[in-house]
Amino acid sequence: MYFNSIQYIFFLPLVVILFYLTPFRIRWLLLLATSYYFYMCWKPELIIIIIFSTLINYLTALMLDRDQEKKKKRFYLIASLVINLGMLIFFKYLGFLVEAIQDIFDYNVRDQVSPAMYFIAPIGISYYTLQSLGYILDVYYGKRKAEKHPGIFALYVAFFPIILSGPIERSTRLLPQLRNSAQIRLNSVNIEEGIKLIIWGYFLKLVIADRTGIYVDAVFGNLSRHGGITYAATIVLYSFQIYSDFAGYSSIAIGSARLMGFDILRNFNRPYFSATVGEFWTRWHISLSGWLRDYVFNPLAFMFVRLFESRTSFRTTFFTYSLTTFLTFFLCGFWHGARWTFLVWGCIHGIYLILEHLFRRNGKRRILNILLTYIMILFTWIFFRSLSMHDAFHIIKVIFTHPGSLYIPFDSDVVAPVYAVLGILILLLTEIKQEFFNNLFSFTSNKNEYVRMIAYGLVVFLILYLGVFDGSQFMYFKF
Amino acid sequence: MNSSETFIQLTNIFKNVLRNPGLDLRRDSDINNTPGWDSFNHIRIILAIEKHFGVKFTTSEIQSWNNVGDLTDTLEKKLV
Amino acid sequence: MNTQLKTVILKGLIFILILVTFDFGLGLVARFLFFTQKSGKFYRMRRVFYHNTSDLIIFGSSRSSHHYHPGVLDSMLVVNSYNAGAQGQQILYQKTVQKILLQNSRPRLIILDISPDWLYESEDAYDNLSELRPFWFRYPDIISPVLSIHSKLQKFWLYSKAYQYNSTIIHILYYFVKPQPDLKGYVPLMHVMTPQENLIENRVDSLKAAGDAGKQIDPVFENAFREFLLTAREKKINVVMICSPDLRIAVARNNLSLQRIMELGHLYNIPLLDFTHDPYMLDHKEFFNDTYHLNDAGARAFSVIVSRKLKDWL
Repeated sequence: MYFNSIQYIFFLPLVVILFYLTPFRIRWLLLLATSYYFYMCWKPELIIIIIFSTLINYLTALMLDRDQEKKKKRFYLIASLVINLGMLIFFKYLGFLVEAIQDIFDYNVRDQVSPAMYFIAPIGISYYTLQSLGYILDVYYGKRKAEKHPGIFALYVAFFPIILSGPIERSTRLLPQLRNSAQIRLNSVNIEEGIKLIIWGYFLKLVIADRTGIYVDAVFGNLSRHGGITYAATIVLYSFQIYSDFAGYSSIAIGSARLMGFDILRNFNRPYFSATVGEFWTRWHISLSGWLRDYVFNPLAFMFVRLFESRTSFRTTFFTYSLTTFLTFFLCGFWHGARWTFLVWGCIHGIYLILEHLFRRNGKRRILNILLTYIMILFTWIFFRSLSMHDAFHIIKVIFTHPGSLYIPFDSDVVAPVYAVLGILILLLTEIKQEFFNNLFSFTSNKNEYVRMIAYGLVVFLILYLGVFDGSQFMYFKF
Repeated sequence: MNSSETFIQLTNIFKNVLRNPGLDLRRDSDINNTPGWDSFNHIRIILAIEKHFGVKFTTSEIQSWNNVGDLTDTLEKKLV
Repeated sequence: MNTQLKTVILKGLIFILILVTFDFGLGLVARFLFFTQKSGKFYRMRRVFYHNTSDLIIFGSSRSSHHYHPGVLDSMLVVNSYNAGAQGQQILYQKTVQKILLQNSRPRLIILDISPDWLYESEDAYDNLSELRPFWFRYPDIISPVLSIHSKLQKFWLYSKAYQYNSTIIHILYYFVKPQPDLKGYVPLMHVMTPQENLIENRVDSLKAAGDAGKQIDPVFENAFREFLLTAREKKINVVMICSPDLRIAVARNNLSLQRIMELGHLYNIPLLDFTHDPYMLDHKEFFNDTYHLNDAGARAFSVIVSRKLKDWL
């Protein structure tokens, strides 16, 4: 079930209504059942993997709580890490690893590995694995106690609004809310906020992401035919496509949860208005960057710091920071998928961050910094979108050597990019207003609820009038 | 050292590392709601605290903190 | 009933009311704007559906819209012809348009310009049917079933006026700024293909054809084809199928889809004129805009050739 499928339009209101009608104390059961149902709409068999993962992590956490002896705790932690990451790597990356070994060692592995082993990654595995690992680490570090209620924990892993593509939640934020679902009462603020987030999410997805995708896919599907200007324009469009697609999805997820009174982490905060790449990572895919910072960067950084015991000079700190940052972003790239281009994308971001700490920019010219940062990020999107390093280098080379002319498709296909640009303009105007003029011209935050409802109604009309309805998947499902 | 004294010294360290003399540090301050406190400065802050108070934190302790309040509590236990 | 519940329900109803009002009101504006178009593909569709008094109608995809010159046909055959070709549209579309057209008029002859792979499975064939949505309100019984084949809940969405006019605003603006001349449905192409382009395109086309190797025939398309032929026969309207000139080397004469089409032609006694490799046209590469579309000069030349053959059926 995709968020933009007809089924979800029926599924969600039904679940919300049932949620408020269900006796408080078994709300968790309703949510768990509907979450499993939601997930099984993809491929019923895959639920086994989730249940297995849930079981392992549930038990591990209980044992971590029970056994305070350091050696034992470490053992449980490592066992759990091996199993969780092992499953993730096995399902997602087996194909890539085989190819990589083949490329690097020139050893023909492919013939040894039967096709059946190239599984299609169970959807959502990258997300719920991290969310579960976060929980295990929280228990290990003593941030919270293990969740004793298996049903609540199972729900934490499988909660339908966020299981497929995040936001990746924290055990300290989500588990208490799920435990207290019995206290949630129907109130119009939650309903309105939820609907507002969902409407905005659909606008981003159907009007901007899907439209832009048509043109971007057309150009990338025919790479040798275009000139530099087209590539440049396409990457700009792509930057909006990926943003709208993912932010739209997240908005629908957060809004869906909000309808039932749950508060889920914000995932995007007008990322292209960042003055530095460092700031970008506090505004883009916030749940992931926060997770990496707290569970990868920090422990690694302090481990390195201990290695350089007495030397606490700025230079050593900087070196530690650089090494850890680079490794973290390398992993970030790798998490996105089994492709060299993702790795390179991650590494470039790592390098950007290191350089930014080396050469601090003039903070006073914010607008210029925003533009510069945007261009730096555009460059990385070339790699992110390209299917191979060869394609990425080809694009970069052509942008600087053969400008050519802008590709404008035939007759009716010219429609797609123009709609995309129209949608992007609406998005930019909205975000510029939110970023710089937040107190003026409030439509959706207006005090008068009728003004607000009219604003929502207008957006819904625009979605129906300008959106793409021929069915296409959210991009981030591939992760 | 009583706890408000500790907290004042802590705040000074933060102000120093973050180069923000007007910083208003509270128990619920964390990396997300405090401007200038990023992952780079996080390392420097913790190292500076360790140096100033003559303590050493374990990775587990560092990872267990949700905010400055938790940090202060751990610190005070070590100072006793 | 507690007050919060009442509030939520009441506000919900008001919101739905606002949505419906917007959809209805702004939707009517969208419809009005849509029907102000005086040129372009939607205008051409309107001309075919409403008040069509032509004796000779040419159905087909973009190939037909670029290949048949009504001016030439009219003067050589002494008829009133109209080119109903539509880019990207395959047999499901043609069948639907034929049904609507025949409600109001009776041409003497229908030309169906065939693309050889029309019967092969194709997502685009279904997706492009969305161009019929703006006309659904006039012909729900004919258009609804066709749109519902692929997506059963189209019926549900079509009640929204905004949805009916989805994706039309850009066309409206485009044709307002750059009106197309009204050439009775004909859309001229002006480019003359260079030999280099020919080479490149043929390479691309071969790759595509190789990719098409395992394709299956979609039974829905086949049935639609039969329907098209039978409907014409029932109404005693002559039909001639034509394959226009095609430079694509990779277009296999022996592809399954074309074979089936030829079988159906034999079955229903519908003649098929095959100009795919017409020597005169192929000799004059300057008639081609790209490997499978004629330019204006080519269309005129081709229309002359076709007219000579069509005399027998008029």
